Amino acid sequence: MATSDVVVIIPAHNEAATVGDVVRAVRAEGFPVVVVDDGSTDTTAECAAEAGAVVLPLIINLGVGGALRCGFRYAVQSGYRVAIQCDADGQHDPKSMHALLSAMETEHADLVIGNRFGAAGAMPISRSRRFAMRVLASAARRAVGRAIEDATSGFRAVSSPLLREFAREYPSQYLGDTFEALVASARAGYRVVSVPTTIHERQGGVRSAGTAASLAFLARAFLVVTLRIGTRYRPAAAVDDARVEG
Amino acid sequence: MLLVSLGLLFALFIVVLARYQLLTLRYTLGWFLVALSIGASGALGSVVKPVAEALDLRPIELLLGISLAILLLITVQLSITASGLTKMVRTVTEALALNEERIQRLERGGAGTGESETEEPVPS
Repeated sequence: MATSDVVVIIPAHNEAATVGDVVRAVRAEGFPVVVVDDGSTDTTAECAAEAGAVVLPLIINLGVGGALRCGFRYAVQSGYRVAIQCDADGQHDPKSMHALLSAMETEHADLVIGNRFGAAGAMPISRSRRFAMRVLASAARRAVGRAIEDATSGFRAVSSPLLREFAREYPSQYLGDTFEALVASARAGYRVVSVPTTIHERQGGVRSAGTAASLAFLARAFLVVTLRIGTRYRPAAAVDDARVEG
Repeated sequence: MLLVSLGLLFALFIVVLARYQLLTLRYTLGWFLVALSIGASGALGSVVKPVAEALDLRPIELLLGISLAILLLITVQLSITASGLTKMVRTVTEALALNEERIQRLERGGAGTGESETEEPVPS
């Protein structure tokens, strides 16, 4: 897969301290970068632009899901075939992006999830969070039909035609951008796989939500899995037909 | 008499809100119907009483039940509207960001190729 077909999308909210280094590290791997500045009040946009990223400035904070959909729309409009999403806090190792793309090719996957717990330097987490992630992994396994150990990882690669579906509709609630999108993709017949990736200590910024938001997410995840509500994607064939007709 | 007065006062309140353009016509009509219902339920006590007795309820319980049902429906309708507006705001904000990036690229003279001094070229 040519790197010119791939764009890296980095949603960023008040990440001025780290976003520049992250953009430079990703560009060093040969990928163009688009930073979606999610209503930051600091100099995130300027730092990202100085480091060589295209910047999409959201005038209000839409949350990670909203920022990502904007990035996916940019990717589709600009003709990219594959988008990699990556955090702006320096946790995701840009070198692992090649592993995501490699898995996408060899496994013919539409969505590749970077597993943060399966490689050297795996992310340390609390017991309660590990329990919640096990519950989600179990739910994801039921939906996807294979083991997805890290269903809430924000380090992932998506290819067309699923990329076009992400640009059309993408969950905006907290963690919906990870778990719900994964489940909806699998239910629409897209191939979802997981590969181990390297994780680093957070270089800056703060966790995006607290315990209350996490509990609300678990409740929402329960509804998504059991009642099949939430985002729905069209199967690949339907997306291709829509493009021909449209 | 109390309900009739309450209904009239509420109708007046809705009219004032509408005149100050704090309510659109769509919501004005809905709330005006609610105000009329309150007034009518007071004026039509002779109708409410036998219906309540047939349902083994007191008239006030029947009126409160109907009011609660109407308010729940309005709340759900407002939630639907708010959800739609949230989606619209999100879409408009994204479009604004995409256009902002495009304008900046055009102003830098990178139209057509998307090239600039620092950014990667956009595939066509």
